[in-house]
Amino acid sequence: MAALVAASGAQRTGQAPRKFDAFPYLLLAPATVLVGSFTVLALLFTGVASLTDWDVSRRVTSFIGLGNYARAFKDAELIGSFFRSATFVLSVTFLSTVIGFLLAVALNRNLPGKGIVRALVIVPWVISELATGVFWMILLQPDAPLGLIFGGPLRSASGAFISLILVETWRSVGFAMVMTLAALQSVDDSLYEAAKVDGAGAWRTTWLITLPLVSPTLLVVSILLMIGNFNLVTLILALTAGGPISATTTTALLMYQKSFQYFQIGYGASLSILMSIVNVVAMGCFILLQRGRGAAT
Amino acid sequence: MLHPAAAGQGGRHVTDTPLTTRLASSRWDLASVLTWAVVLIVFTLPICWILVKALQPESLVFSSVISLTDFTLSNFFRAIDQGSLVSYTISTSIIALLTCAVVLPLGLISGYALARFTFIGRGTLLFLFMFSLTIPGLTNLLAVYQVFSFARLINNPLSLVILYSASSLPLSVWLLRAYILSLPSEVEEAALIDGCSRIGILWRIVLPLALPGVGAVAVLTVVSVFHEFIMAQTLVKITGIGVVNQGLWRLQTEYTLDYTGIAAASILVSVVPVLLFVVLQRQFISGMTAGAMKG
Repeated sequence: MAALVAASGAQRTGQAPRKFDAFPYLLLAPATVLVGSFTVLALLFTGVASLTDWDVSRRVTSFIGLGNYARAFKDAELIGSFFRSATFVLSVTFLSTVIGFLLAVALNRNLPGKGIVRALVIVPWVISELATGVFWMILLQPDAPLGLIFGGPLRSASGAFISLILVETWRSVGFAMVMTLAALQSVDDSLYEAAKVDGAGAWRTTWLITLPLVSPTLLVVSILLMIGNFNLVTLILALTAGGPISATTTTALLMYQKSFQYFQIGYGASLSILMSIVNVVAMGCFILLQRGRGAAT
Repeated sequence: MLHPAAAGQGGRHVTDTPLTTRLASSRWDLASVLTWAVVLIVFTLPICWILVKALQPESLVFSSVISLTDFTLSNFFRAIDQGSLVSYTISTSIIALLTCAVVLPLGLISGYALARFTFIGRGTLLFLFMFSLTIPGLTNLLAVYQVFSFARLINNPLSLVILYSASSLPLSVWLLRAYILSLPSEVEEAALIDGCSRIGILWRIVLPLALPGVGAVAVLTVVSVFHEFIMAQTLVKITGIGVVNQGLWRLQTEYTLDYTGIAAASILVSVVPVLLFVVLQRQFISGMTAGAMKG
């Protein structure tokens, strides 16, 4: 962040270079073309497609203006999926951040064998999303020991939804923990020592010193987890495939199904654009936050 | 997330520090025992359970009895055979290597240009890479699929190399830029004065110094290919070509009730990422945190 501030400062002074130098442009050209074509052009393509009634079952494709968007805002299936997405995203983000923070505090203190504990908590993040979904699909089968205890959670609507939240939390905690740990390690030791001298206990120290110091990091972790979970598809496919009925069909999964299973390309594209808007808003908060932090130091 | 002050000078150092003891020394009190117990039960036991199921015969799939004499490797052989896992592993490795062959050089030269040069449009390019970093591939997939089908690249694994390169580049550029910023520029300046060409500086000075950063990016890129599923499943539908997760998916959808075989496959597709993590834990974690720092 500090670097970014310096960069934009340098850019301002660089408005009038003494001599034009093509070298940096040549170095950057290949990566820019590749990345730019995938983000900018894909967005343009999707945007144009979202204005059509493009559908493989239709012979002629024509522009229908904002028809897809009008349909989306009246689509009970989409609205339902959006509420499920919101519940899912907020629950996973809250649980992962809180548990990740507590684990990071525990690791940063006097836990014996903390290197091993850290690795064990990260492993679920290292395993692929699909494998994680498959693991828990097996573990939660009605006849498996864990499934028996909870009465086959994947068979009921609420059970499947709660299972999905907990499995994704299981996967994300390691990420939240590692990020928080990195922030904790840059906290000055003398603050803890001062608190100890003043007679503050472990809970008070955590609550009054550690938490405020790492809360900007926790906010960043939360936004990244929100973006990631809002766009999560693979884990859901492996664990519940959106079911039972549509109990675990989030907006991301619905968009995937419309585009690639029902081939309603125009409508799927409008859902992509709506999702991109949510993503960009979340990302905007993230960038503002980063710049704010960079400027503060 | 790294501390802003540290991030400015390439924050990787922060995560590199071992978990040193802070105030009290390590000791087994009630809180540590509880933490260990929770971590072992919640995070490790489920994985061990799947490993045990993968080693047991199908008849014991939902049983809680564990007996070492029952252990068999037949599930693994069946999974490898029915999921075409050998073919998928070779294919994934080739795709990962080709992706690295695109991402590492392009990431290095772009990161270098952004770290060491001042030029018009630099802010815009920095924004483009940061913007692309947070746009998930999923919302682009529809456009990618249509464009690739116009270009007749569907079912061609090269399409995955292009796609993975494009999606790994923003993070790689960002990481390598931060890494090069953390290196002293005096050596490069001295070399320039001594008459070294600018390409020569990049090749003989920047590359060797930035090698640890390039290594971290390579690990991240390879792991991301072994993690990927949804793009490959959408773009390549030839059995045995694509990424390992597609082999696992095939078992899960075609041999639905073969839970021990599916368990074995899910263990097998996790081997490469977990091994890379165990061997290169430091690079892995610095990539994980720096990837999110983006500044």
